[in-house]
Amino acid sequence: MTQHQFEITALPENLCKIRGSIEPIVQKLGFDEDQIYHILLAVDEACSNVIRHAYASGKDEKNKIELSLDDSENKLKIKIRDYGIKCDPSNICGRDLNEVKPGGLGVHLIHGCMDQVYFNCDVEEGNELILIKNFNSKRR
Amino acid sequence: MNVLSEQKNGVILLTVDGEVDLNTSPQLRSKLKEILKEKPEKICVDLGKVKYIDSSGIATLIEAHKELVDRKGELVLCDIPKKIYSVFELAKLDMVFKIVSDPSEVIKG
Repeated sequence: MTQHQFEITALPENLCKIRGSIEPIVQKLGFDEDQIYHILLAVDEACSNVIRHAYASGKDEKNKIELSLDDSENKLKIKIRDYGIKCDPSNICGRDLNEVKPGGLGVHLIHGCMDQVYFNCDVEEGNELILIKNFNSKRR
Repeated sequence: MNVLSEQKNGVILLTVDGEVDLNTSPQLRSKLKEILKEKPEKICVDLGKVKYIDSSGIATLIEAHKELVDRKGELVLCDIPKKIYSVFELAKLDMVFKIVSDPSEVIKG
């Protein structure tokens, strides 16, 4: 089991740093190019949601996102923790894909890119989203 | 991210280079809005040099597509890298946009 942890200020300009930190880790785990892209996209979309919704009050250096990646039990488990406005998971849903409109794609993409997506409802403050990608035969 | 626009045979060719995310997509949106003010009939967005695009970037393309369709115009996407095309498939947008492999298919001499 290997675990990696990061903490970064929740700012749009830091999203590329988050992707840049995660990419070499998932590359080493043997995921193929499409899978790596999907993992980066899911993490990026989740962090974008934290910036836009959990820390909706605006830019503040105190607003942090904690990320942890754990590659045990034949799966990659990614935790995205924030200390912003608590969200109600039952209110989060992607848009109907048959309806062509700009918004509501992010949640759909997170679910489409990962094998499991759920909130840890035990956290008292903020939110913790768990993203899981199974290791499978498509690995290099 | 860099966005370059040029007019070729009546078609606006928009070449996007780099990473399009929540931080950079406003720049793409602003460029598309500026172009749309000129009421072009056809915009061709070359994504061949795009290394990354998220839902905010895709939403920007959908906005422009809808505006063009509303006035009988067309937004064409070209040279989408394979890993990015897989995201368009996930969002079922490969059925919405006209997608070609090379800008020359849209810009005919």
